[in-house]
Amino acid sequence: MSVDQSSDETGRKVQKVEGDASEIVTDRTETKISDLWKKEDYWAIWLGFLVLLAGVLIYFPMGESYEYKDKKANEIKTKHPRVEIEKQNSIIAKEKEYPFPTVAFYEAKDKKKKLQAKKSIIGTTIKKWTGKPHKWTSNPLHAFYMSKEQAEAVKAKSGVVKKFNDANAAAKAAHKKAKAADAMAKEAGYKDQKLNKAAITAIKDWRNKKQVVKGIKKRGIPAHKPHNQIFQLLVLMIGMAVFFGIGMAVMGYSFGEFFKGFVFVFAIVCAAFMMASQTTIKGLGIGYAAWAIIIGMLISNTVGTPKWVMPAVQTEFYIKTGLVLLGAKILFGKLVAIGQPGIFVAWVVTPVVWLTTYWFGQKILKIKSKTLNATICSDMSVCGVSAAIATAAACKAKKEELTLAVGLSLVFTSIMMIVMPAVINSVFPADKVQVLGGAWMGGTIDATGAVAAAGAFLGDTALYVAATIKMIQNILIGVIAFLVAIYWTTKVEADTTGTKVGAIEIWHRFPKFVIGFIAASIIFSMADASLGGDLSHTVIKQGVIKGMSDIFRGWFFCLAFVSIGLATNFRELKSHFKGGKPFILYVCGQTLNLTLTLVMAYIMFYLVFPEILPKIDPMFQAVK
Amino acid sequence: MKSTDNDKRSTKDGPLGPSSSFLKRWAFLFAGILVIGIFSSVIGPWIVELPLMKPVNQVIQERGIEANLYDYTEIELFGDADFYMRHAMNGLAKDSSYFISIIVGAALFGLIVWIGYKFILD
Repeated sequence: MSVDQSSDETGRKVQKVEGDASEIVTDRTETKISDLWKKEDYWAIWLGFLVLLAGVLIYFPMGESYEYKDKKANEIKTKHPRVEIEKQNSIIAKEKEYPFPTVAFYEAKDKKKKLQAKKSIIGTTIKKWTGKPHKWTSNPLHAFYMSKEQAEAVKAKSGVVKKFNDANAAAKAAHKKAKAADAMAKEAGYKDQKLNKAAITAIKDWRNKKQVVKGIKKRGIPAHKPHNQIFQLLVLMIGMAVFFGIGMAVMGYSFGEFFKGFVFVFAIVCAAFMMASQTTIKGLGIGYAAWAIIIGMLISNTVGTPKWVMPAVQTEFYIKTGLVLLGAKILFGKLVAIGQPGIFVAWVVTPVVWLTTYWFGQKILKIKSKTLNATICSDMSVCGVSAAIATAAACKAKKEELTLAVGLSLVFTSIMMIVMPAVINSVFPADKVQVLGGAWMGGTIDATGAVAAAGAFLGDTALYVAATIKMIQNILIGVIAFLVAIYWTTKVEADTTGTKVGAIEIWHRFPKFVIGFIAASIIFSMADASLGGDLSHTVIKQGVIKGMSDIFRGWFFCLAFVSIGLATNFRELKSHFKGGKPFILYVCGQTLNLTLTLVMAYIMFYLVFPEILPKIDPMFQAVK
Repeated sequence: MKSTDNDKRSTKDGPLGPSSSFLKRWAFLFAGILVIGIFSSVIGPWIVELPLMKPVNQVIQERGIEANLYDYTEIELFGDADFYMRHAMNGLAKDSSYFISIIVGAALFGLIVWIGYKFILD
């Protein structure tokens, strides 16, 4: 079979395969220096790194000191993270000599945890101007605006202040009790098992009550504060329109047309965030991605997406920029967080499940679209929405395929969040509920929010194990996206065109934003390692990531999902669901995932590395 | 991602959506909004009160868990977990066997991927 190549009027190379009536058009453009400012992939890298650079310049110097507003005293104070970390670490080192974590140990730990650059004056200002709509219960307008009177009325109705005061009083009393019990155990040199047990129980009770106070304080009180977010959202909209608009203009599109359409897209984004902020919806685990697609599709399939909006429906541009930001949070240092068992659970099961499910989809179910198959595999075996986005972008999946994969993940996540803790509680032996149960949930539930909810339901240790397994699994997002991009450029696209691709051709075809994604991950992993865990917590995790990249990534992904909804047709979506194959694929893949994860977690935590158990759950072990 | 027929139609021929009458299209939109409203104010609250859902929802509300977020860095409890685990594992001897087993895990991952690339994905 001979292949005849020529260029068409757009500069793309057109391959005519002899014996085939169709022409296969491939993006085999040569790499030019102008690609750096004319191609979307590069713009995603530049814009993503611009946000990250701003974050680094703002937050990194705060490792030495930062100013924050003490709300109780209503004055500006200064924190010195490096000095404070050293001080608290010396306390922790001393307290660690005792057989269980003492009150002083936890207090020192809490003090270190409070060192967060995002809490600085600059950090809170950034948050104020980029914040998403507020939580609301019955009046959707409260997501954007709440007067002082309304806030007082809602506060009085919900009884949140009383709830907070009661919980706070209970936590303080529990703290006092824990301190007393700890002191008694200490007096006996921590040799009296009865006193140790009493202290452990009292400390555990204090920590649980403290978590409840934290929960009310974090989610309850701010939701009932007066606020007016309309002006901030307008400013943010203009800022983001200019941010992306410059890139669009340089790439040859009209800035004015993009700006006009962006106003509409941004309004839908706000509506999606508003829906996701409703109290009940939060409890059901239905996030902004689902609402963005639903609202977008509702418009596009009823009254239709206005033509003037389409220039701002730039799904890939938003996704790729968001993915570069996502790279910054993929820190390889997390690998050592739970040691060997975590790596085996997350890194061995995940590729096995991915490959087996992909093979099953292609060979048994005979799913026509490889991109749909790959997106569902990543979605189900790695970590839901983020992995689906990364894979879909890497293999150039259709919008409908990503919608389908995300939809499946959201439905199953909500079910698994409720069913798995119930099954673990009723079937697992008591001594395996926390660690084995946590590892099982962390390795299988797709969405991280649902992992946190299900883990917290079982207990703190289960939560910590589940969350850590999920974090280790999250590192795979970049790796999977990279491998999928390689596979697609070297095999799938080569099969489509019928030609073998060389190294240069691979480079031409390779989605360049993946390089930005991986580079961000490597750079921030190195910074994380060089700063050390505690300082990295202050300036990277609770600074650049939470105080900058996370905020913008949320907005960018929501813009992408709204764009997907606005350009998706029910009929096309239905055609991808033909025969229920994606559903069967997800169910079969998830069944394999559940089985393998459970077996691997048991083998690793209880047979191969049992010495890890007392480290993870010292209190549980001490009580035993 | 690839552009679909939908994209082409929207940029060339104007708005998407079914080609039904103006009134019908707007009626569908308002019906959709109504369904969303009913879901969030009636069906949703009913679901969270179901016996299987209620205890989990209680924990979510009590601890202020953002159960509908997708990224771990956005969830406060993941920060707690990271912090706890780092301290818990500090006491564990990180000798050569510790790092060897991590390398073995990573190598195993590489081996699985290679086998998949060579034999399964073909």
